[in-house]
Amino acid sequence: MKNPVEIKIQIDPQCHDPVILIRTDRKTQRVEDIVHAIETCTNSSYPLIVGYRDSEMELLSQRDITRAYVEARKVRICVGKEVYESNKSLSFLEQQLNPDRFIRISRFEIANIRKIASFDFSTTGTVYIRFDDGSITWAARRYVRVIHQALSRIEAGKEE
Amino acid sequence: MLWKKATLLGLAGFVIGAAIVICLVLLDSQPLQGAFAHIVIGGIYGAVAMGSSVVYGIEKWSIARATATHFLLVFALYFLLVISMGWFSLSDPVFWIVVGAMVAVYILIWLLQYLSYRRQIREMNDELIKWKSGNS
Repeated sequence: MKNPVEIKIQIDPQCHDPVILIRTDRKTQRVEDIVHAIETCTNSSYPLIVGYRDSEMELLSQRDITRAYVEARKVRICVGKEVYESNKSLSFLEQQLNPDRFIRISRFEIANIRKIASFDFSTTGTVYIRFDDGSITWAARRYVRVIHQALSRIEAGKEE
Repeated sequence: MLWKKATLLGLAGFVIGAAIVICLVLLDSQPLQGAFAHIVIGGIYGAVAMGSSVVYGIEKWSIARATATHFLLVFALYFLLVISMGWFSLSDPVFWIVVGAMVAVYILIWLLQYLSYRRQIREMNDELIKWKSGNS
């Protein structure tokens, strides 16, 4: 069976650190998976996040995290419908999370921008964020510009 | 943090409010000594108006809630001062003209903020759709 992904290695004496280039006609889920696999193998600066559920520790891939927020003075991490607890502060988590993927949306919450399905603005003037898994949260108005800029960067293809 | 910001803004508001009254008194060619109470009240009004503007920074509050709260605080103080100082009576049309102007200004504040954020949210949704359709 033919390997579905063609891998070429080019030896370049000028290139001291490996450079990985993915050639594709468009960004697909498969491309995302490849990028994630490479990130996981090579990038130790964005580690797996420790989460606790029913007293059991689990290592969470940053890619799977939807959002992290403070509730009743505890930091909770959402992975799909599952909610984990963290013993770290939200600021500490923010430093560990990939800034290309995670942004602050309020003093109490960090969201995975790649899991956002849509934004909504209520008549009274509250910004709501709907995620791909159907969950909804609110964003502080002062972070709207930051979120907008992050989206513009992603849309312009300046990241990944 | 919020109280600290409110206090600093309140102090700045006091200075601005008092300065406005001093300017009005001087423009009216009245002696400043006789207008001391008015200057202090102008300062208090400025302090409350600016200090309470921190409600716009409360993250959980919607624009409508923040605007309504600020309006009620400023209006309540205006009402108390006007009645206690005997500036206007409730039957004086000037009192109601000022109230009408305040309501109009606050509706305008809410409307401008609402339209500005709504436009940004629309742009964000457009970018999200473009990015998601490029990935599918």
